[in-house]
Amino acid sequence: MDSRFSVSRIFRIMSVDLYKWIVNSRMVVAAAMIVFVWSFAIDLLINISKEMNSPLNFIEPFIAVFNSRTLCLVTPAVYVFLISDYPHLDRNSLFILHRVHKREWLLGQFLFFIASSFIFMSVIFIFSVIPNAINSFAANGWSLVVTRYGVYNPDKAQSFAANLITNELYNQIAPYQAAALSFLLNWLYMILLSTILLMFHVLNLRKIGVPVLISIIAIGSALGVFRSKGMWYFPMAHTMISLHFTQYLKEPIMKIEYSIMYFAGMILLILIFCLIMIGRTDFLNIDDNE
Amino acid sequence: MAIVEIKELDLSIKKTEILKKVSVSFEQGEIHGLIGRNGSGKTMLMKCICGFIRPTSGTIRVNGREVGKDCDFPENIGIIIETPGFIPYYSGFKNLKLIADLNKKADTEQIKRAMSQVGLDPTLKRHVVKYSLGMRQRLGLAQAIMENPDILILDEPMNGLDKEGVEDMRKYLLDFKTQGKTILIASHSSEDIEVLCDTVHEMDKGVMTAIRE
Repeated sequence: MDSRFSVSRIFRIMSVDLYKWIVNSRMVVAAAMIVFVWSFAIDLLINISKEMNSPLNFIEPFIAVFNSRTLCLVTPAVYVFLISDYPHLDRNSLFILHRVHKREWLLGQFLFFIASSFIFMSVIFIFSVIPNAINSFAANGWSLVVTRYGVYNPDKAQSFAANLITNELYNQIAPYQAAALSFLLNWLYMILLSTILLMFHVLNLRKIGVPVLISIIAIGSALGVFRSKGMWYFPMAHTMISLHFTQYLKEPIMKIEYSIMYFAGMILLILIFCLIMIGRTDFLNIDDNE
Repeated sequence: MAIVEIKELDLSIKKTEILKKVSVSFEQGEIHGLIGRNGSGKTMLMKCICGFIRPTSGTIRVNGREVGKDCDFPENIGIIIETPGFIPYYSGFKNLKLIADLNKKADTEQIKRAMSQVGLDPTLKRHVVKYSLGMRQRLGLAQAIMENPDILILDEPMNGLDKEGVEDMRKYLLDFKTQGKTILIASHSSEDIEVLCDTVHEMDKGVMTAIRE
């Protein structure tokens, strides 16, 4: 092992884990999630677009996926499933481990989580935007499908499809900004979840990492659905832009900047804690699946 | 000169005592055998020496540096702990290249030489997933030796090897010893231990029970 700290080693550790993650058979669950999200949200939006004979903004399906109070539970849960055995320690990892510093390994894992969550978000973006792109328009304004469906069809105003993008969202923020912020906040959410998982590994408490994450997602989502003030203690509420605003008042309930600071602060704190504690970490749990 | 020095090593995992007051030194330039029944603590002792597990108490010094204090993992060691694992859809050479690129101690020529030394063809494009157990074991050894380490730590290195493979491996290990290198080997095979080792350390229930020259 080279005694100097090496950034290129960190990137190599990340790239090996990223490769193993991408070729993992459990990726089939990600494909199933896309089908589920498509049929549960995007298809409904397309149907009401056809019903109104009016096109969607191409970015609206993506915004709907990350601002639906039902789907907000699904996407992070699937990501947690995909990374649940990470930091992955197989017999190949031993060969890598003893050639690097523990802190390099830790930062390599952190980088892997950043990259894997970015890929996960990008795949959702691509599959929610591309398939209906030719029937959509591209402009920084909401479609009539989103803003007027409930007005033209009062009997369907409370339907699931009509509430995928709520007026707290379209009254307050333009679609491009909503899409960019949804991507950023959800990406940070997944990085935070994975950093928590990393922390439990560092503390040699690997088995309780996933149950804790599932609890954080479930409790945060439940509090978000009921709009309890306690939801702001959990990361989920910070990812949903509609929860940041009231329907009409310009003053937000929670500033978007604070949500970004919430994620950045939490991630940084946990990462620093992990860097301090990594010296005490045991690499005991070696998975047999190669 | 002792290249590995272990003093008063205790290891407990979930209130189970795995290693109890293990004190032992391994001299440089010799082959040291570790024997004992399954669960006697051989692999755990090796993992402690490699720095993968922190002992509850006691110290391990490798090349004069305390593992876990002066360094995270000992420098200049080659390891095979249990069955070696590789990225299944890469060739043997590509797997080793990926590992070697981490600290750039072995260049392409050294990787190829290490593979040839253990009887593997470095130009073979076959994916590791299609390797036999013996070929993986040989690739594991190539991985351990490619950076020309001072110490080899081998846990059951003959697993899955055929008779010819065992002979090759023994020959290679004895050759490695003549270069002044140190080998620590755990094996269930009394023949391997007899043929290879200068000293034999017996373990039982986490205790070093006997040392034979």
